[in-house]
Formats: sequence, C-alpha cells, structure tokens
Amino acid sequence: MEIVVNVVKEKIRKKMLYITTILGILVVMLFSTDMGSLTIGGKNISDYYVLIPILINVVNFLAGAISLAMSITTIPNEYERRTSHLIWARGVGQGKYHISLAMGNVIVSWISGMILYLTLGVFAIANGYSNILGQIFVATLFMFIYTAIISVMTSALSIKLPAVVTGLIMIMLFVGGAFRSILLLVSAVLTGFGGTVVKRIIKLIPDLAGLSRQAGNLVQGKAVDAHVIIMGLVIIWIAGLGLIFFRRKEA
Amino acid sequence: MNCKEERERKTRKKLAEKDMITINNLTKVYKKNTVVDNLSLSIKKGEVFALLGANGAGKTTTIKMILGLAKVSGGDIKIAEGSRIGYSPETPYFPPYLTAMEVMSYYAGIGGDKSKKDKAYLKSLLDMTGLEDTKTKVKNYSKGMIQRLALAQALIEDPDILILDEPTAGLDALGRKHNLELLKKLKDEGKTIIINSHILHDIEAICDRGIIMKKGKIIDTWTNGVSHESLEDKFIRLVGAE
Repeated sequence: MEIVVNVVKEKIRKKMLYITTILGILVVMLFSTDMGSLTIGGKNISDYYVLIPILINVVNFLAGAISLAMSITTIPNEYERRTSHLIWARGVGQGKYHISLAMGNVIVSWISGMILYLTLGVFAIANGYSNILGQIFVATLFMFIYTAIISVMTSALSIKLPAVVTGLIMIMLFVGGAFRSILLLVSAVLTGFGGTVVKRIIKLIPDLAGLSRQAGNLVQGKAVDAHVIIMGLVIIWIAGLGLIFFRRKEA
Repeated sequence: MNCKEERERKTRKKLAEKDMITINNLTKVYKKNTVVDNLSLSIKKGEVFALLGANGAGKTTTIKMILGLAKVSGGDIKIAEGSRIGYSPETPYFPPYLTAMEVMSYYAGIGGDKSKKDKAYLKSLLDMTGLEDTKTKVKNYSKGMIQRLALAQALIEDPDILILDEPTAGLDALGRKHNLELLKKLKDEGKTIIINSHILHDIEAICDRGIIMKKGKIIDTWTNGVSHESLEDKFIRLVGAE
C-alpha cells in the first residue's frame, strides 16, 4: 500500500496532470455553455442532454490521455533511479511491486477523470439537468474501466520496453481504441487478404469507443451492452497478468 | 566459572563463529563479460568485512547478487537462516517531496513489520545517524544528509547483516567520524557489516578483514593489524600493478 500511496503523491505533484486536467475542464466548459455547439446535418446541437454522450467521449479521451502520460514513466523511473534496490532488498517480489506501481497510476488516472466528470456534473446542473446527475455518477464507472485499460497496459509494457516504444504502441492502441468505430467502418469496405488482416487487427484493439458509447447510453437512459464492459475488464485482467509475469532481470 | 556461565560462553563463541554469509564460486557474466569470477568467501557474525578494489572490480555486482538485485550466473550464496539484511546503496534516491520521517515511515511500511512504523523508533534511528532535522524535505538535503538517511533506513528492520555501499561518500570530516563511530557501535551490538568503500582510511579504522578485487577476481585478502604495510600501500601495489 505504501508504494501505491507514494506513486499517487508523486504524480499529484506533476504539472502535466494539472495542465491536462484544466484543459479538460475548459473543453467541457466550452461544450457546456453557449460558447460551444455542434452542427450535425445542418442542425445546431446545443442542448446539454444531446451533447452529453459526445462530452463523455471527450472526457474519457482526455482522461485516457492523462492516464497514458502519467503511467508511461512510473516503472522505468523506479529502475532508473534505483528506487527498486531498496524495495527488492526488502523482499518485495517483482509482481507485487509492479502491481503496486500500476495501481498508483490507475488511482491518479481516476482522480483526474473524476475531476473532469465533476465538471460535467456542474454544467449539467447549470443547464437545468440535475436529474441526470445520478447517471453521470454511474457513467464514471465506465471511465474507471477506460482509464484502467490504458494505465495497466502502459504500465505492463513499460516493464520490458523503453518509454518511447511503450508510448508509441500505447498511442496507437489508445487512438485506435477511441476511434474504433470509425476504424471498423472504414475496414468494412476493405476486401481480400489485406482487409481480413486489418479487420482482425482492429478486433485486438480495446474497444474504448464502445465504453464511452455505453456510458452515453446509460446517461440517456438507453440500453447498455454488458459485453463491452466485460471485454474491458478482461483486457485489464490480461494486462494485469503482464504486470506479474513481465520481469526485469535486475533491480 | 559455573556450568551455566560456561554454557553461555560456549553459545556466544559458537554464535560469533557462525558464518552469516558463505559465497562459493560466485560468478556473474554480463553479455559475455565476466564481472565477478569464481568468488568464494565467508563472513562471520559480528565481522566488519571490506570489499575493496578499483572501479569496475565487481564489488557492487557482488553486493547486488547478495541482495538478490542481480541474478547469479554461477556459484551460490548462502545467508544464515532467518537473517535480516539492511542495505544502504551507493547512490541513494529518496522522493524529494518527503521529509526524512516520511521516508523512514515509507520503508518501514514496505518492510511489513508494523511495529517498525513507530515514530519514536524511527526518530531514534534518525538521531543515531545524526539526522536530527526530520521536518525538512529531502529535496533540500545535502549529499551527506541523504547518505545518513540511507543508513538510517537500512537500520529499520534491525538487520543482522548490514550491507553498505560507500557509506561515507559525500560526508564531511565530522559526518565521516560520526558514521564510523556508529558502525563501531553496530559492530559491538553483534551486527555483521559488509562495506564497499574507496576510502581506505575508513576501512582500516573499522573493518576486521576484507578482500581486494580486480576484474572480478580476488587478488588478495587483508586482515586488519597483521601487516606493517598500510592498506593504502597494499592496495596501490596490487591494484595499480598490471
């Protein structure tokens, strides 16, 4: 537990966390006030109730980006600074150590995500939709899964790979996951062997877009697809196994 | 001397003769480069043992293998059953936003023994190492203060074996004197201490014996007070010679 708390303490001192969170709040503000509106099919969409699924997408995406940025260097830094020496020397196993560090990353991601969702809630009240506060609160659970996927995967990869390589892989998976629906749409027109390969690759990308869509559905009182949630949890579990089984040769 | 006293004397003698660390043919190979080559030694309870050698001799790698921080390529290390080990690294890093007390509390928590988290106990360890200011954040510490904190955290679990990598590096003359006195006190308490240091004067002041390493091999042994030649002269003669 000490390691988890220490990671959280260290991360909340990072300027990047505050800058990104403030940026997120500004984006939510922009969409939530008269300053911002969307035009879909020639119709101006400024009703908060209609905007909220889009806002959830945006907020989850920002929380995911914060999660990636916060998680990428945690484990490599521990080994580079040799903080790991004093942990290993105390008999803490690598699996437990890596899980603790990743848990710290996840908690930081959740904190920043919750701040963004809090902003959503505030603007829901400001726009006269205090009746959907409960749904927004429940929708944060989707954000928890969304950011945990990014955070645990990033942490696991960073055990074995250099930060730059982890970053590149995770940016591809993250952006691909956030726009998975579009990728699926585009790949639908692809045919032949190449098309099959592309479709298979897309299937391997975590369905982050799906999670945001389900959160939006929940807020709007539509049906929620449990399959997307279960798959998200499975991905966290698999990445969690990576935290246990990926090992450093030396502290 | 009655029977009981005799028995106690024998037990004490037996304990003092107990090997705390036994290393047999220890070898470490990094990418075809042998950095520790067939190292064998044993260290008895209560001994202060020196690992000597120039940079790259394999001292720190040996320490890392004893601590389990590096995999052993060959040979074995036996540590007396149930022994607790404390470690002070060569270049300690502590979270800069924590105070000395918070650092101590952090490592005490990791150790798993909740009784060691007692603030009065941790404060006594900091006092022992001469780090009385427990409220200043680590980021404002001098190198010497960090070194003292590293030593204090190594003592948290009340270790039987203390492994110190350059424990007096970065300390001023007063700090060094204080640390050496502390190490003598710890030795008197029966702790087994392994020191890796380049400051040969300090080694002569506190160590009982040691080994001189070069390119991963033991090139000679040293026992305090048995030779007229100073350790420094011996070191230069052996390590300096190609």
